[in-house]
Amino acid sequence: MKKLLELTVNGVHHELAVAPHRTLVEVLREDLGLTGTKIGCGEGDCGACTVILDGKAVNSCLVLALQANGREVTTIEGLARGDRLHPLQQAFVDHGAIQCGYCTPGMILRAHTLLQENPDPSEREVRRGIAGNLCRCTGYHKIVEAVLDAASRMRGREERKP
Amino acid sequence: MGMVHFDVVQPASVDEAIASLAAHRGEAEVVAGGTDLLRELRMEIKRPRLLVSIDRIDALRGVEDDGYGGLRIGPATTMAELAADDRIRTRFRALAEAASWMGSPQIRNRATYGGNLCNARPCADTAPPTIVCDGELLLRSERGTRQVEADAFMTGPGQTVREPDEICEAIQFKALPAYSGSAFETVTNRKAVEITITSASSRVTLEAKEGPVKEIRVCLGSVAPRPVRAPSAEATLRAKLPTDENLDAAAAAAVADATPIDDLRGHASYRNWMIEVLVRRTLERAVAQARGGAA
Repeated sequence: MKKLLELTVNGVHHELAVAPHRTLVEVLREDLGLTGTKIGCGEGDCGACTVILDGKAVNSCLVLALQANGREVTTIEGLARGDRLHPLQQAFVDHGAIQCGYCTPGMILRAHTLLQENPDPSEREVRRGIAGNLCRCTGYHKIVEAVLDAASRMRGREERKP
Repeated sequence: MGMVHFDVVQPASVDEAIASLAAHRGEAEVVAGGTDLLRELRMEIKRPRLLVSIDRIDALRGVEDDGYGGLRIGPATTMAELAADDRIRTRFRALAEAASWMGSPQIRNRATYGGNLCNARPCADTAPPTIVCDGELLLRSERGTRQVEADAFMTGPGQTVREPDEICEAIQFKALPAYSGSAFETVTNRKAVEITITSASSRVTLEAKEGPVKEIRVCLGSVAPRPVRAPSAEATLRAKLPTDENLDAAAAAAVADATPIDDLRGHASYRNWMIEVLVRRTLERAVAQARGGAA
């Protein structure tokens, strides 16, 4: 029997009836139409399904939808401000860090929480920080460059604030 | 992959949780982070009718000082929370080290300490550190509460002494004596999202800063159906000075205490080699911490 699920996704409050066995990634994609979050392995090994749940990067394929009740979720759709890309998204574009694009939403969201935890990471810290996100196309180098560049741009913005 | 269909309850208290487990004895599973359980449900390895989610029970989460230098840790505390806790890093370092590497950053934000212990994989990384630091698990059901030493908790792959109607309510550690140190090391094929091939956890308590070894515990992971102590290593070093020679001898002795298998992650011969290397390294670092200089 379905149960009531309330959650806030990208700032929008939703009330849904979901079957208890549904996972968060399925509900985001199928019930809310937010298909930016991808299902790669479905077992928490690849990170393609990464979303931000109450401020922490998690594999949404391993979260029961009902466990997200009352919580806040950010998906890739929640990063840009209208047409203005988030600095991470812009950096990925500028550095050619996107090939097939399948790992990209999860990769960017994880990089986002990484930079919130550590606004000035070393290359090594970036590589370790995204160790839960697999990319089959790029070899990671452009991704790491993009994250470091975005970090620098975001620090510059912070420093310029009055 | 499919998915088992089940119902989910999210009790607000331990009392409610154990009532659900009692009412559905044998057909219910406890879920916290679900990072292993969701896989098993997808692959239909486990087929519960009910999941009792403990993720809303505040009493089961967090690290509390017991006032005497010991800690009481809630089972729903995540790996990330364990790894970040300064008290665990200083007093029971092996546990913080195990929690800080396993899975991935995303997994560590969900996977829980109690889940890792109760799931009881032979490779469960937090189990050997819990054993060497003399941790105890509190198990509670409607029938009462009991304490189980960590070393007696896991009995085999996926097997523990926890009854289906019991919840692990806390994992407790008494303060270790002065001049104690611990360390954890693992070897894996990749740096993340990988299952331990072999791990070693060591805890050393010295009589005095430059004194001989008073207490020693060495525990190996992923080399047997459950974590195994290394009594030969312990006997070799007990009451001796922790010189390089004696640490070498203890590490070499540890190999005889394990019975690793060949599997797709490594041959038994490789694991035996790694046992010696990892025991040697963890003993050295545990001694360094015991002497007051962290290593």
